[in-house]
Amino acid sequence: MFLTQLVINSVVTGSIYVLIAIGLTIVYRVLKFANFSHAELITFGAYMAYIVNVSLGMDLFYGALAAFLLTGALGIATDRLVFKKLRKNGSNVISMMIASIGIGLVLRQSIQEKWGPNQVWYDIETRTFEIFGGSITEMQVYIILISIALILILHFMFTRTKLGKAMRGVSDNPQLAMASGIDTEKILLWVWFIGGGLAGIGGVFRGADTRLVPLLGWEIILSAFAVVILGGIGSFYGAIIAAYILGFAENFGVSILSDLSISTGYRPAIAFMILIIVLIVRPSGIMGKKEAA
Amino acid sequence: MLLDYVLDMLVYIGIFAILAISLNLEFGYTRLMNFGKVAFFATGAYTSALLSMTGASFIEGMAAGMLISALLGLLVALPTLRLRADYLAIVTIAFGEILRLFFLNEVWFTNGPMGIRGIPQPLYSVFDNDYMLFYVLLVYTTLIICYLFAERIVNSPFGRVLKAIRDDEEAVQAFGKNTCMFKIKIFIIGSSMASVSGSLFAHYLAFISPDMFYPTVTFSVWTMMVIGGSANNLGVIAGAVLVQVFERGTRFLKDFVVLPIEPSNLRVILIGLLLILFLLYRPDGIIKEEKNRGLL
Repeated sequence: MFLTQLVINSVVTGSIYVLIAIGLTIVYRVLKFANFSHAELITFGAYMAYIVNVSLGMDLFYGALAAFLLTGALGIATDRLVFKKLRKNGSNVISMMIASIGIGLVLRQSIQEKWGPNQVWYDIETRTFEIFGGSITEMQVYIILISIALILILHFMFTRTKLGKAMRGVSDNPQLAMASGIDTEKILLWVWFIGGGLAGIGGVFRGADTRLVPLLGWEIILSAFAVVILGGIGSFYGAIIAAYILGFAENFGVSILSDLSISTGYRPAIAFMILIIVLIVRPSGIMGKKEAA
Repeated sequence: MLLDYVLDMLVYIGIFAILAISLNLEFGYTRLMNFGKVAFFATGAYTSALLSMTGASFIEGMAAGMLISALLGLLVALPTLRLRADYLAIVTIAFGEILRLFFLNEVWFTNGPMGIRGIPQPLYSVFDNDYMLFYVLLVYTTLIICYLFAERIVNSPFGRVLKAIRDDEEAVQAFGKNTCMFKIKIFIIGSSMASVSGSLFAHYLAFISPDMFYPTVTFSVWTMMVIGGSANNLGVIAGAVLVQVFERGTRFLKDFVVLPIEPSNLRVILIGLLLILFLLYRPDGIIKEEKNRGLL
């Protein structure tokens, strides 16, 4: 495959991972546990956009908007119904991780019950552009641009707005944040809403770039975790860099695999290798604080 | 027909009870978050199946599976056990998936998605008509050995260190114990034990394929442990009975009643719900750990 094409594919993959990983990492940072149900939030978002796009026949843009809002709401719902109660019970992060697995099972199989196990596609036009000997679809251009736009919006939110600063405050020191008059529970709602919403949009991107299946989120959750750990758990900027690194590693890695005539089915193993290397060499990740390990 | 059904369920209960005990050693007593239990179960199944296809005996296959699982367990444990609990969870879940991809893609070795058929069953010619009955005995003998072994471990000085690590690792380190070594050892033991149940599984079905080793297997074992009562070996066996009666029951039921939901979906949804409800309302499970405080 041409180098240009590999670069284009890598940037697209990175753009799909980046929002998902940011969503995962901010929930991780504030609530201190690995939320495995993030995989199914991704899938849920993809199917919500499917309702808008295919069942209602509207443009996928509105589908992505609906995915953001509804998946954000689902994130809040999982917190209200499960995680908040666990916090009140004084349960530790380990129980929350196990509970997140339970939530994931319920969501995934409910999605499979509703839409069936077979793959479905969005109703989108596929115009293709040629640049420097590689090709890119119109959809992929949107994926890249929307990701960059959302990253910029989030950057301003975290640095300039009261909400963003309060979120950082709550994650760094919840007691201090509460003492300075921040309503912690309200901030947590926003964390879930934004984290879930980003997962939802990431799901739409993935669905538009490939297809929709009930395992859509599960297929990429390991890559998302690899991004989060490579970037440093809880690090917004780390996640951004790591997402594109992983995009490049996976696409170039797959190309090397096929050159070596090894099955490209091993694609997920690339994220796994990166995960293991980071854990051995620098468990705190690129931008993580040292004590994170 | 009904008797066969009951015996089949008993075999499944026994096999999964062994898995649940092995997870209990790792998580219940030591707080190691192994989300890749299925990897070691699959290793046992595949090693046993592949070796017996080349003429090795059941015992040899099982022993080889235990050895390979122990080595794989060591390999996974080394980079992760000295780190935070959540890293182990992520790495083991990933490891299980990669191993499944290996079984799926290396067709020359494992026959890929078509799976391995005609795995020889131990002493089949001797028992012939009563084979199911024999297999139930075989599984339960193994289960009893595993149970006694696990009880022996947790009540030994070694086991007390494990429980102390779970409750306060820093305090144990302050006493000069190398906690990492203890964690690695119990992880290896748990992995080998999971492999034993994998061997029993492969030889029982006489057929295995990669799609039997999805992560749902791991989480079904977690559900058994959580609802049974983590850190109580009898409790987790009770959990295995409940979840298996329920899983097998819905399979059986669908032949007689029309369910509004696809039974395979319903099964997983209810397992997820059980897991959540127990964590919320009965974190100690059905049977609490003896003389200790609640743990989850």
